[in-house]
Amino acid sequence: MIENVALLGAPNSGKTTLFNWLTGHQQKIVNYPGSTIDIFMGPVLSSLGTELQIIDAPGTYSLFPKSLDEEITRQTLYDDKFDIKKIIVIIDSTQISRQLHLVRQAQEAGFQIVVALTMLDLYAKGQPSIDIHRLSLLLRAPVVAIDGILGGGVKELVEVVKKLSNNFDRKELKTLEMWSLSRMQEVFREGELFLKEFAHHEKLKIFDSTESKDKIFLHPLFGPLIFICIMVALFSSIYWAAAPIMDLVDSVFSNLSQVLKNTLPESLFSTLITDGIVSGLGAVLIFTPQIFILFIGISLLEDSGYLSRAAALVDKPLSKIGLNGKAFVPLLSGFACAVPAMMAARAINSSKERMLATFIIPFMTCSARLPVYALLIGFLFSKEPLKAGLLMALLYSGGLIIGFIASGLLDKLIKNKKPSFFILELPIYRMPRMRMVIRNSARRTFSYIYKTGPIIMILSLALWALSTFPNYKESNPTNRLESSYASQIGKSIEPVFYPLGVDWRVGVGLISAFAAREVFVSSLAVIFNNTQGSEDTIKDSLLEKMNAAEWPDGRKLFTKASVFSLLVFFMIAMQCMSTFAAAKQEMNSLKFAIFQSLSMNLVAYIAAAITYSVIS
Amino acid sequence: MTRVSDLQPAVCKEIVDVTAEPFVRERLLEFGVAPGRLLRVLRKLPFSGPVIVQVGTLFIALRREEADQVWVS
Repeated sequence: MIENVALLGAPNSGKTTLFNWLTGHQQKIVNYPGSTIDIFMGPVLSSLGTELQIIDAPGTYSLFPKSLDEEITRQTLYDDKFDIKKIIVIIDSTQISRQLHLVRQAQEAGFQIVVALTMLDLYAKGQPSIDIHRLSLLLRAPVVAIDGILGGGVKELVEVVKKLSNNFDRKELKTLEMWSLSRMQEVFREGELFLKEFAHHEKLKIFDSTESKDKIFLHPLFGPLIFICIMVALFSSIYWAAAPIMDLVDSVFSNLSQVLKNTLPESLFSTLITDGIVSGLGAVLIFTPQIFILFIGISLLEDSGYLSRAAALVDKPLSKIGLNGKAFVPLLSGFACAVPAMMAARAINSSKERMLATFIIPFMTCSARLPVYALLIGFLFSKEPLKAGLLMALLYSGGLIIGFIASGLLDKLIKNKKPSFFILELPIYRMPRMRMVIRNSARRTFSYIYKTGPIIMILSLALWALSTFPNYKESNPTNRLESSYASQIGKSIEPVFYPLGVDWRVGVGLISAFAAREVFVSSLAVIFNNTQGSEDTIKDSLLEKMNAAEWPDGRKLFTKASVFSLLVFFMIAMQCMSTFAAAKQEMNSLKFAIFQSLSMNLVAYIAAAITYSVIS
Repeated sequence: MTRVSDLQPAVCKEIVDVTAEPFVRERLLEFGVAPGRLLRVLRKLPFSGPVIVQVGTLFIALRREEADQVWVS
């Protein structure tokens, strides 16, 4: 009989670290029913004994939720599906008087609890530390000190959890009423009295050093400068550090596809494997290095304590467009991929602000736009790197500015249900530990693959089918595509593409880009019969083919005007099915997702048409 | 009574009242911004950005609007 035990703790209390010590690598992600909130589950390490499964829901300050994250955590505890009777409440030993509430609330609700006391390493040697026995008397619950760095105390914690009684009916659990002010003050007083007598932590050195670091990081002039430097560093690492790994993934998959093509006999089945499944897998995995590196960057900033300062610094400007500082991380993540970005938006308290953030996330230049930009900019300015760089920067800021305008407009249009507020804990500065950073980033990356993988896979298969049938026996890929359903659709709606200055061939590319933007490049390659050649030359020879492409009447197809119009279209349009699915799931509203896609694509289409007619 | 938003940095005062509307007040209380506790303004971010305060061992960033509704002696 496996018993479920929940972890309950405030953000920054060392909850995830404890979870990692308890479960090691055997973690799995479950979605809370009806939402995309991650709940992590894992059996305790066999060296610690068996029979326990640990459940890690998002951090919360109380059992009176103020955001979607916190709401899900509360529901998890009460949900019969998880059948939780025992809770490990994590208390940061430097924050006892404030976090005492959570202990009292869990007890009041009727759970059996044990308290895991963390962050004891912040007490310098020789300093009076906390009297654990006394604390246990005060809390009326067993207390185990946990060493987050070496994992000390974890075995003892498991022993204590096993001894807790589970001999009660979960129907006896109580839903709590919000505490009165006097009840809260009473608990604060309890904590403060205890600290006065049995611990002396108000004089901890770490608080002084945090204060002096804030003099620099939150300085009126240096603060914003450092912020900009850190962001530039993060962005360049997303692109430069990820590039070699992405190339590796790319070449592994194209080689795999090539090897399979050579070994398998030519048949429908072999093209399904090579062009459908393998390239679908490649599409799923190609951006994971970038997303992993983004998560490492965010984890580093988070664990060091800087991320909250960054959010505080940008709160004022973001409040002008109806957002708040907490939208910072979601928007930042949007530059890698909109899907994890939308997931990150859950921490935003007000539902209106969360909606605005989710709405404008796809305007951020995600990594899938890069290959498209690279190709089109390469076409315009192949020998002028300065102009090319400038145009790239323009497209990045263009997306950001349009997103901000959209948010500002929607902010005016939508009424607020709950008040907007910004109250953010600024944790102390600490040296991040690489092991935990990597492990947590891997955990988040897997969660991303797990959510988007199936959708991207299904769409690539659908796209493969559309571009293969009905003439699947044709061996020349260009002819096969030209007679396929995809191009039949493209040809029949060709007039739609005229205002953008392109024909049905580019139109097919645009349609296929709705699976994922970067697919635009590979479908152009197929359409313009550019499937031979090595990695390096594919782009160059595709550029040549694009240069040569003509309308039936002999005019050039790709001109400055039509390429600029395509760039503008890609900058604004919401073309990614995974993002559509994520938006629907996160907002729990198909209407929202449809409205978002339609309005963004309509604006993109109009803006691209205007661009075309102005330039030509 | 003074609003926290009007306090000068480095002065330590006792909180006497939190007048924010219930939802916001709850969160403030959960962060320890409760009558009877001591509060110190550490700094104010430029352009009327958030106010950074310390209550007990916790550093908190508050918007000026929230800081307006926390009263100290």
